[in-house]
Amino acid sequence: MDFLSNLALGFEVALTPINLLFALVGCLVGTLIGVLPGIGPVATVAMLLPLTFQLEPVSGLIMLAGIFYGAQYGGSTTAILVNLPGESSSVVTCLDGYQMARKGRAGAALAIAALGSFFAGTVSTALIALAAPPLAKLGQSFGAPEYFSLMLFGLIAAVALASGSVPKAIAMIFLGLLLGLVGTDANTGSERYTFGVAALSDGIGFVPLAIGLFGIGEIIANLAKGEESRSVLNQPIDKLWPNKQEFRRSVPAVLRGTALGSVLGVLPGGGAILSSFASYMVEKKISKNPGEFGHGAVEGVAGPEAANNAGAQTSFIPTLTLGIPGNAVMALMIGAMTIHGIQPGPLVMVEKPDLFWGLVVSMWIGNLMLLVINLPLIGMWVKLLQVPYRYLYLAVLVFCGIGVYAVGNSAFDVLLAAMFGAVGYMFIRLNCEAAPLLLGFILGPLMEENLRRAMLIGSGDPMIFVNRPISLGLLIATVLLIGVLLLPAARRGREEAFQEE
Amino acid sequence: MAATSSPNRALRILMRKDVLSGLVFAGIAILALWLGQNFRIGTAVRMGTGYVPRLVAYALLGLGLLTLVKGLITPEEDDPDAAPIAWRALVAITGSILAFGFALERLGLVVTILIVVGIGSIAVPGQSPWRVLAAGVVLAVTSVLVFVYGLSLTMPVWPVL
Repeated sequence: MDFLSNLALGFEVALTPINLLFALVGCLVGTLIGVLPGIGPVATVAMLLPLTFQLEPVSGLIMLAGIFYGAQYGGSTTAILVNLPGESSSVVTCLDGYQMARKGRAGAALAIAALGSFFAGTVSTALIALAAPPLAKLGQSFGAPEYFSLMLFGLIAAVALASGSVPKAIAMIFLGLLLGLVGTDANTGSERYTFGVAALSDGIGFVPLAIGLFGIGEIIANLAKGEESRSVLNQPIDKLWPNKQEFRRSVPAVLRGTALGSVLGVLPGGGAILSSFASYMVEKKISKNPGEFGHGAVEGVAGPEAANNAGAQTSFIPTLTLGIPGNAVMALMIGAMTIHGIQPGPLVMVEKPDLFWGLVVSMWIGNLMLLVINLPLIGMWVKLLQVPYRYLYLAVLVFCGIGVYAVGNSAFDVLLAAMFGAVGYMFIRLNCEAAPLLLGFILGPLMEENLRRAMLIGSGDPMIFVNRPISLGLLIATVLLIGVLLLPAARRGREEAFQEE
Repeated sequence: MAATSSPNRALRILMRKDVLSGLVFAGIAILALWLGQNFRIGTAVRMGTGYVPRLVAYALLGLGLLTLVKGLITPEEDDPDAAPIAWRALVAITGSILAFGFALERLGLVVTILIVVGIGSIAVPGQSPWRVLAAGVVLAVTSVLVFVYGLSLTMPVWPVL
């Protein structure tokens, strides 16, 4: 069995002491970030990239992955105990989780969130192991036209599944594409938009861009909001085990959430946030007493928590098999792979099976670690919640600076990050989402390369994109998606899906 | 709402989020077209340096104008979270990161962190200077231990003379 021998190889890699250690470090840091409101996973992964430079590529990626799904676990703790989403994907957990906590069921809510997430993580990791090889095989048959069409579809889908105005989000993608063009043109060797600055001839680094937009920009926006009053629940959390009735009601919700999250996570732009919103809607719709939602319905915690973790895991599928990131964190993972000298794409699995399967297996191990980290250590995380933001942001500033500098030992990059920080705050003020910009920025150079190559193959005839069946299918899907987005009914439904806040 | 004079009304329309975003997008697109006017376009078969940038810039221009028009024709609604721009935080935070960039290679990590924390602390009114200093010292010591000695990142610790 291929599947079993692959998993065996994965366990061999993931169970080495050093990789176990970095999985643990990643999970701990991720939980920490998840617990603290105001620091998102994108900024964290970007900030901590330099930590992984000294490591083997496998260990580095294992740690970064741990940070990402650790944040999903940690975010729910804050949501349940403080009624503040630690991460945007745990916004819906606040609705019923906090109400459960107020009724003295905080322990049960936390346990259900953690167990549901673990179950979802296990299923979706298995799904990655099953789905990745055939997808990668398909990816290997792709030529330049297919890749271009796929990236186009990915970018449009990312917009469709995100919240906010569609034309603005598409404009942000194009802005990202434009920023990605800065530097030396790989085909002709001439410089574009570098203003004669030598440091720009290699292009804008994605770490200064990501840290500026997501790290520094968010600090300014958070400070602008002023200190929010945090009322940490001060009753002791003694009973960690849900009662029989809570358990019985959670199981089907977890199953539905896992299924929903696994599917939505694969789609570009989907991932954790959309999954949790969608799962909450489903649970509320099919519940016999929907009035209970918002007042501590256990399904409202179990479903979304399972869904966001499943979505976070399966968003690795397109990243690892096709080299196409579906969300901002995956864009950073692609960047991290490039820094480690790995060309992301379908060949990773063939050329570096140890890295691929080690990473997949370590995800499951990481989920297991998180279950252990979260439940018994809950008291420690609650203490951390009491660090006021007015001191916290000073530490984040310093780590942002060190993180940006360390990527290329370039002081210029730090100045660039400062500038993007101000720009990031402007985008937040203007209700422009920065995630599509980062996706466009990462995919821009790849798209240009593939467009040029495709046009060369097709001798300048754009019909090459239509004559190839896979490319045509992707283009039709893209057009359909745009059509659906323009339908008034779909627009309303899309707005509704993000209205639960 | 009281009747507003026409220049005031024009300013309020200009400050709408969609209008401003549209202007920003269109402005950047025009700048990109102007800066790239000498890039060789080439042909569809052999694309020159300027082919894709121009394509992207025109698309951005179109989307910017679309957003602008949408902002102009959407009837005004009172923005519930119309907080004023946080100039203090904006300047202090941007300034502290700029200071990091300018200071690190000359003054070393320890002094740089003290400066960054000092400037950054201005963002929040009423920070206690002693606590800020304490935070700076703790951050400087941890950073040197973790990043320079622990992870052997190459950056100067003390001022370079």
